[in-house]
Amino acid sequence: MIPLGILAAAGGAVASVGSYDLLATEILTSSSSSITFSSLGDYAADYEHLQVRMVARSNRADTGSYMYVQFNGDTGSNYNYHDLQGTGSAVNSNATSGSYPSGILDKNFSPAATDPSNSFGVGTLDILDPFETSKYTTARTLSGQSSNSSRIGLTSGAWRNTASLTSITFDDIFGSFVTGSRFSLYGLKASA
Amino acid sequence: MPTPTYIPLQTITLGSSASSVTFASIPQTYRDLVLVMFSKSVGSPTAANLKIWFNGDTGSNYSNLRMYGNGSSALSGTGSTTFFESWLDSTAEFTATNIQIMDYSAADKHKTALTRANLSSLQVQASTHRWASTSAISSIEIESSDNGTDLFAVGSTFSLYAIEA
Repeated sequence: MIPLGILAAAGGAVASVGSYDLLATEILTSSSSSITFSSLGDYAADYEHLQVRMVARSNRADTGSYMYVQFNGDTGSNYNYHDLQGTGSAVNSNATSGSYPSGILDKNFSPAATDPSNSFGVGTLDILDPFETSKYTTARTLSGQSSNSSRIGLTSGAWRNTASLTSITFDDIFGSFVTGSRFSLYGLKASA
Repeated sequence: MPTPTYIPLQTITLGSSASSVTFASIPQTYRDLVLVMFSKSVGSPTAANLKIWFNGDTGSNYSNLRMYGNGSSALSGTGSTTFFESWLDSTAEFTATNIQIMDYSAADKHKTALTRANLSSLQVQASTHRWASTSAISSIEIESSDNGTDLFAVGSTFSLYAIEA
């Protein structure tokens, strides 16, 4: 099976042993407004795609928070995104008509302080061909939470830059990710 | 140091129809689980419910939210009777379902998951789910209906994978 989240749902052949590797994990021992995986160029020779599996909660004094995904530390207006969001009563779609500031926006991921205790949001982020220098870095997420602010969403986005990926930053826009939030980075190998 | 992961734990392929399938004694040495199901039902209705419980808990400790398209509308709804709700066809088509259960062995979190489910004759769905328990998941029970009259068909497959973090 192809382990990328959405591709996996479509079925397929079982991945060969060793084609999907854990590269790094960050589990917060104190709250933090952002998490960064850096030195990703070290993986460029061995991996074709990257995936991040995410479990998080925000300390924002509200129901739910939003998150930016940023590449190579770029917080400029060099991103765009689309999403499809289910709220339990309706399905909405949002998008940017042009460049979007500060990162790829995920609005579905993180519960916050007024949501039930111990409830966390979850997500998978797939980044395709992140080390290619002829393509904008393009990503997609499947993320959701079942809490007071329940949401499920599909997001796609791009960083309008062809630079090889060197870092990924996850930024809690309205607060900080709480202790126990976890971000794990995986690599999907290219064929030999 | 990269660590190979996505470990196959068990695959169940039905040689005879069954009302439920259980993964028991799930090891606690991993971080996430991925449950991949390709299943259909046999029974009088053309569509039966597919439901999931953890650790034998059939109480009111579950919530789920789904977003789905049926060919004419995009809809969203919620449920509270089971961790997961979807549809099975009893005519010809199998439902392809992939459930990502995150931090299943953690004792400081409710258990939350993401699902993509496809039944091409009926709908395509994305959903999220929460079991309001901090207990580690040690067993998963998958049922074909809530009334015991529908069965998983011969050839239905259920595979469980584990991911380290």
